[in-house]
Amino acid sequence: MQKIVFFIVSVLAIVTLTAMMGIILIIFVKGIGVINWRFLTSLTSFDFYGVPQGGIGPAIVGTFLVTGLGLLFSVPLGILGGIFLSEYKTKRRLFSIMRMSVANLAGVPSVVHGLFGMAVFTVFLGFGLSILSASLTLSILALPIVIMVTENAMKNVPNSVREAAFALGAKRWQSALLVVFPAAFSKVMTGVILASVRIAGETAPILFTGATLYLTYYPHGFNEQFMALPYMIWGLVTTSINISASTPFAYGIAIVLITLVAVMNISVMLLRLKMRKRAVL
Amino acid sequence: MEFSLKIENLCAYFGEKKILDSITFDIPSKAVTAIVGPSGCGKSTFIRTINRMNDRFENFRASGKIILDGENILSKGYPLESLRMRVGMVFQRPNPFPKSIYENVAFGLKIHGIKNKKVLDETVYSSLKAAAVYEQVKDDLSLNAYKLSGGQQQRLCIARALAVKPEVILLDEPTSAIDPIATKQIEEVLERLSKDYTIVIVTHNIQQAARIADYIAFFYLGKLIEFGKAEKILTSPKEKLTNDYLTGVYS
Repeated sequence: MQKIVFFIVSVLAIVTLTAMMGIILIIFVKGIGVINWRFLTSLTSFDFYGVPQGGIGPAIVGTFLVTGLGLLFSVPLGILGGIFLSEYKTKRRLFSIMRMSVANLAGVPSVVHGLFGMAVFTVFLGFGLSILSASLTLSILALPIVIMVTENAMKNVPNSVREAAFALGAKRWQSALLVVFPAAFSKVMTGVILASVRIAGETAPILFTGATLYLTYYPHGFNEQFMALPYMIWGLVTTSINISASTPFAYGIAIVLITLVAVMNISVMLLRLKMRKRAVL
Repeated sequence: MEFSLKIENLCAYFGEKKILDSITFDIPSKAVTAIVGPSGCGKSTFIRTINRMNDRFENFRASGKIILDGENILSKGYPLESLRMRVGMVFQRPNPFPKSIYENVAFGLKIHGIKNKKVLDETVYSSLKAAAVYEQVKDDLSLNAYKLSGGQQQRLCIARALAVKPEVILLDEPTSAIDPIATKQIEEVLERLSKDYTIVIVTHNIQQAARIADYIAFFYLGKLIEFGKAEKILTSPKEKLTNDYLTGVYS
């Protein structure tokens, strides 16, 4: 019986790995021809026949800007929220509803976030189509993830250290911030990096809030439109004038995105290894 | 004879269940008082009520008085932070913070606003020495506390409690999770400390009480059955219950 189960599981594992490797391989093969330093850094341009010249510099910058700002708005707030939910008396009905709302928000399809962002930031608050609107929208996407990750990480810290802190006369916020949070830090960071990977690759929230397909310059300020990598892939393959010439370009962008994600995931793993050596928790 | 703590008619409840019933006695200063009794008799609840650690539980209630320095610490407005600076606690399982040895001991001082490095250094040094663990850790105070052995961690916890210069130190079965040799070291520390601090130690180990206690309080099913000098209780207790427990009729 053990052997049969082991066999089935191994087969499934091999199938999954092969499929994954296959996807990455295909993308690499189709797009590697396009990758060079010019591709990564130049402005985008198209020639008369719609064949992309230039590169994806603005798209890389745009993705970084909007992801970075999105994290800036959501991470501090999310961490504080997670700490609060974990360390303070939150068994009452009000907080259960809060927790449920956070979980629901995390599961809402991102296009809904995009619509919300458009309605509130772009139109109602008047930020228009801009880096600001888009990053605020992305931060709403990231916020529930950071809150949930932080709360879980904090709750996993054993109560014995909290009791030790209280027995020394620590107030609740001192125990939370000076003892429990540092102990939970590596798990929280892991969650934050995973959240950032998630929002870097999102297209729908930035679709109606500021991403554009073609800029001939780098944006000068946060109130301007920007280019982004995932959006650019979609644009090149569906709306460009010369789709067959643009497609290799799109594969190139896909390689950049996959590489970005891989780098961030590997750094997460390295971070956790390093943290594990320092504090055994 | 001076008394650090006067307990008057202390009753404690978890919800409807009465855990402590009209406990009344006085804890002598600068001596070791051992609280003994069978499992479930309320010893842990008793000492956790002294530094109000049980307040964390929503269904906990205590009535009666515990008088420290003329004030009833059970009264509603009594500042918990200052109480816990004067009454320290060491727990059953060593629970150092996942920080360096230095940071563990300095923590109590830092959270009460003491930032002067010289003061911190001196206090860390003297606390580690008083807990008889300085020699073993002096080479690297930045070492993570989790890397120490169980006995060393527990002595570190004692040092941590000493750093805020309490009057009373409560210990809840501090050596039940520690090996015999480390236990002996900790008992020696406690005997030395009892010259300057009031020690209240919960123990289910009668031999330990015999070794280190100056006074013994015997609890049974939430009531204080007998309290007196250690030699007297151990050799000729007044109550039959006490005698039966000490001779091992039940435990």
